[in-house]
Amino acid sequence: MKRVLVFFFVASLAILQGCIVKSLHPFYTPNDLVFKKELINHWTDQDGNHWQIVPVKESNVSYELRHYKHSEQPEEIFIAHLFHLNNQLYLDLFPVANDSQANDMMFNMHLIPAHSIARVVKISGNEVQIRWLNEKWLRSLFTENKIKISHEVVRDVNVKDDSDLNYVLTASTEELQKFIIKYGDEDDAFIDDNTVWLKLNR
Amino acid sequence: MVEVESLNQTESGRGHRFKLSLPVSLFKSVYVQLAFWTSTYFVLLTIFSTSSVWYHIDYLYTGIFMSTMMIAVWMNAYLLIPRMLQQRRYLIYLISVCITIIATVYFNHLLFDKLIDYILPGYYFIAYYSLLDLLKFFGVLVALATLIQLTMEWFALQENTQSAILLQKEKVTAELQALTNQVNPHFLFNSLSVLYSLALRESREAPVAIMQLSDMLKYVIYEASKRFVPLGAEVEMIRNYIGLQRYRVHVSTKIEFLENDIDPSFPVMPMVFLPLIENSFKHGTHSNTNDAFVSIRMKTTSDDMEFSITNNRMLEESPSTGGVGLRNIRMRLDLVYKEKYELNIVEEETNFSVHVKLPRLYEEN
Repeated sequence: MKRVLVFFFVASLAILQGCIVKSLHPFYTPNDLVFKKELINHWTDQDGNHWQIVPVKESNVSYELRHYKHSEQPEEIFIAHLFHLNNQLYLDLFPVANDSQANDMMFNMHLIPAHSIARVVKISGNEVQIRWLNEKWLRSLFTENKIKISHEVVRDVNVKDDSDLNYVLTASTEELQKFIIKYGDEDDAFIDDNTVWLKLNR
Repeated sequence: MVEVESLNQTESGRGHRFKLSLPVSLFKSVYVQLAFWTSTYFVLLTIFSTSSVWYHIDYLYTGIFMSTMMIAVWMNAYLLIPRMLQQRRYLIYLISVCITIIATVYFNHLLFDKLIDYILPGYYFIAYYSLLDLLKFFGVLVALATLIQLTMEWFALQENTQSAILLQKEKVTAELQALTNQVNPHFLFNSLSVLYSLALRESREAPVAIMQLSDMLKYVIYEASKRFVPLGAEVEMIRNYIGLQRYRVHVSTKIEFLENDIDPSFPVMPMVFLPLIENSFKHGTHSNTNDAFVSIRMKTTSDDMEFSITNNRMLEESPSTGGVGLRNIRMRLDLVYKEKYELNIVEEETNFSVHVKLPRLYEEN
């Protein structure tokens, strides 16, 4: 049976890095987690990238997302958690190193992995639709001093202007959840432009 | 001869009570308020800052947050403390302050959870702190403000009390001086009368009498204004007075002054016994009988001293216990020794006695 997975990620990891809201702390607590078996499968996103979702062996609430491009080995791996906040389903992603990256100790020691959050819009038999939290919207709120949530501004070495600044949320999970619950329904928070479609491979 | 009883009566206020005004709450002063809230603001700003840099949004949030704390602190300062704590209604105060804190904590939470979106649309705030955390914030600040307020009021009260004590002391000193000053002219006039008699008789004893009066005046000028003098100096003064009086009284008059058993350093109020001695010489030695006498005895212990004086009295003489001179002594003793002294007057058919017992007091008393 051929199923189409519509998994939405920003087209590639590079693009994804630039457009997602990064947080040092997870957006969920253990009490919020849910597990849906229908996610366990092979999926293809709207840009033709292949994704495999498998359960994490040591856990009954965690998923492992494997991103394949050209080789048999996954190029990126994420630990994903589905969780409920105020009756709305969300997905938290957290990167882990693949086998080749894991060997690059010096490189890994310089990285601080971050969590990202997406609202799950749809989970049906052969289709999943998610929307990333709008990084541009959040960036503009920070720039305009309109939002108060713990964060740090990280400047790259070759920063050209403010658009190159990276905002990293440092708020606690409790604060992150309060913010998502209160302002998650804002028009600009989770917009269509940030939607990723995953279709089930058939 | 000037009579001792003709001393002017001073109706200075004995037992005057100071009415302390309530301490003015210095906490209400603008400067203290400004300092307190400025400090609080920056402490809160440091705590609330969401990153290593203070942003405009942090200033705004801290200001709004602190304004809800002001409600609790001001209610406590201007309503609960004056009306309950200072009225010693401790339990009601405790309950009220708890209710105030809880109410303002809920208001703070509601403000940042809901109301802020209507007050400041376009800004994104959440209720960052749990109710328990807010209770800690508000409780600590209200407790701190209460401590500051009570401490400052305590200092103000201490200052007022010190001023009142000083004022009272000055008043007592002034009253005492006024009463002592009443005594001086009388013994002076009595003594001058003696000198006048000696001068009329061209007595060779006049120079000695003048020297005795001179010593007495010296004592009055330099010692009588003090609160306490050594008993030895007072005894010397009495000796001089008796010496002068001997020129005046009949040779048959028996004058006895026993003061061997005293501690000369014993502190005693100056000029306290002189009116009694003047009184005795006036009433006892005026009689025409041959058994006129004045007997004075003094003795001291480590804790107190006793003075007693007895003189004969004429049968037709009216009782003198209510005399102005005795009243003057009572008032002076009241001012200095308060209720710690004894003054007993015994009027018998032929004798009149006064017994005084004074405790050992020091300057600070």
